[in-house]
Amino acid sequence: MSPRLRLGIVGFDHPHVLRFAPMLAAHPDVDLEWISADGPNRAAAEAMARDLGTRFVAEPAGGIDAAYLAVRPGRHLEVVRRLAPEGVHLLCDKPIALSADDGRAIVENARAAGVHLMVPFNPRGQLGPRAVKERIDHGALGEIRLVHVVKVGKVPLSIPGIDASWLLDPTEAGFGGFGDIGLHAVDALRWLIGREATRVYARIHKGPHPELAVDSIGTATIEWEGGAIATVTAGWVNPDGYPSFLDARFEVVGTEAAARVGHPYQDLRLADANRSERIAVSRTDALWNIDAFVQSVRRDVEPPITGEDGLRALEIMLACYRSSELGEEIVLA
Amino acid sequence: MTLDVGIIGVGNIFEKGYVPAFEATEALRVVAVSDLDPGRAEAAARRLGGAPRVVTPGELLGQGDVEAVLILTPTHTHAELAIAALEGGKHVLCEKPMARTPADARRMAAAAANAGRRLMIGHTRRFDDRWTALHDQLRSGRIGEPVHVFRSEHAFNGAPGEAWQWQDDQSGGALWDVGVHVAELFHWFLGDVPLTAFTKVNHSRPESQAGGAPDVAVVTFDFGPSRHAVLSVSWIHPPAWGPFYATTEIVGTGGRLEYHDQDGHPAIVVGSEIEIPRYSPLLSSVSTAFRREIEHFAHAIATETPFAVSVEDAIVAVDMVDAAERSARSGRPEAVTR
Repeated sequence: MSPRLRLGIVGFDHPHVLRFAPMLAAHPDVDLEWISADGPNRAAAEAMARDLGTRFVAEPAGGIDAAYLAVRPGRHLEVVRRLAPEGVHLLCDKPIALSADDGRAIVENARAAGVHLMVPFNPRGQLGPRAVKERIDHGALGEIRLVHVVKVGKVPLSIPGIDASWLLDPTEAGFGGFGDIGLHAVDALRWLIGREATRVYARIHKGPHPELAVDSIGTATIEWEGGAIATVTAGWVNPDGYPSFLDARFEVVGTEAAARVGHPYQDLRLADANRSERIAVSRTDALWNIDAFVQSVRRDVEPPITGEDGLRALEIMLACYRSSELGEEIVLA
Repeated sequence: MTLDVGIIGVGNIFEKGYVPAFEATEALRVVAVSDLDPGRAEAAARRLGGAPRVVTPGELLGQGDVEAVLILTPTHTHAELAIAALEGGKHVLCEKPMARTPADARRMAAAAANAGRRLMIGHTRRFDDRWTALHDQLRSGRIGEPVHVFRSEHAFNGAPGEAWQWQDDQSGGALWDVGVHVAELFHWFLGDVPLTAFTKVNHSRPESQAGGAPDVAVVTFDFGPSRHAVLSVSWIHPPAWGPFYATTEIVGTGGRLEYHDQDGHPAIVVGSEIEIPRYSPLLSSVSTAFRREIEHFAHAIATETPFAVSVEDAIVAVDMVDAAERSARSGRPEAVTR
């Protein structure tokens, strides 16, 4: 096992970085060497570097074993082409890319360079879905027949500490609220069902936010090898007054048993005269993703969520959008 | 004023829904009971107060004191029975789905119009506090215009494999039997008829594979460029899951509205295992909704006022499910007939 991991953070655009950066800095097996960023979030990255006692660099510097990519997804390929040949292992935030071609190129570059590539998805690290997955693997649910995932959040307009407005720009983000949040759910389905999707039908639209340039709500019906049917409902639909930014719900029905997961986080409940809030005690999902990456690199084993997983989730998501546009079912290759 | 009624069909829904309702009300009186199984009809008569006569289904329409007929039989028999009753001068309260085909539903509506008799379809959800509360909130405008609705009704169907519920031509499976309730709610909640339906079904349990009636269905109804509603119905949830637990999630242009049956646990019992005792067999429908439904039926006839759920509403629900069934066969979104 290699000793401590020297890690750099490339970019400060993805909202996950606000959680991942302090967690990486605090990780007992990680030395956070630097944070680099340009564009509108440069000042936020500098402030975070100061807070965490690490260096801010304008350009990705050397001297690292691994990097966390929090640049906009359209820039992932360029960063991977630069870092992978230097032997840098990659934690590349989702979506892996804006197009399947770029996603494939990223996977190929990492493979050719012999570096580990992981794409983090939250439900994989959430205790409820993990408990269900464990029972599926032990055969307690039998053959999976029907799955519903609902995963919704607020419009990412006023995330304190970061300018995430690129998520509302279709050329920068690739898609809107359905894709942004639903990608986690699509990966969760592949993971829970343990098979590949075969057909997709989706309705995606602007829903409650006609003022945005991108969609904010959608539902997809996905058919899987073996005949299971699943739905994904996702988007930015929680109003300002909603007690939490994110919430999720899973229902997994097999031939032997059914399981249901409510809100995935352990919460404090706080109320004042104006509103009631749920405040997560800890984000076990983010901690799990970071630790899974760190330990995979240290032990030189394949990460639990690979670049191929990130690519497959992206391909399913792109098929959802194509289905919604054409108004018909899409058969996946 | 009391409405004297005769009942055709004393099976599952009679037992679970109507017996408690008749016990609780004085607005209707059962004067005659019939069933294809005379023994079952005898037993049903003994369960109801007022000592109703036991007759054959054929004899029921000749009973002069029967003002209205309740048709509580398998779906595929509704049309012939209802048309005969209407033409025989009786008012009719018929269980849902109204009919197995849109053509049958329209023949029933025409028979009511021609005979000048009243026809109501038993869309009990309209009389259930859970769904009227959701409808009230939608109408209040607090969440703006609904743009996304997801609703599931999930249960274990304990009927034996030879029962009509598992025969596709008789019931249409979970898609028709349960889906028609959800379709009717979508029509009611959104105040509109969808353009298309897209459907995935499964035949998961052996009973479903043998009889051809789907036991899982997921349907997306497209209500226009920025509005959709998705239903999920299942008969494959394990028996301990509980009876037709429903989840409703509505996203509006100005907010969210949700209701989940399983969020309200009445009790948790911890012994060597954890048990979550659920509600009575059909939740609050049992205690209030069926009684309200039959009292509404009697009252609307007596006062010559419209039914809360019209024949046209019931036909829309049948059309929606029919489009969903056609989509399951074609693999494409299918137009909902208007």
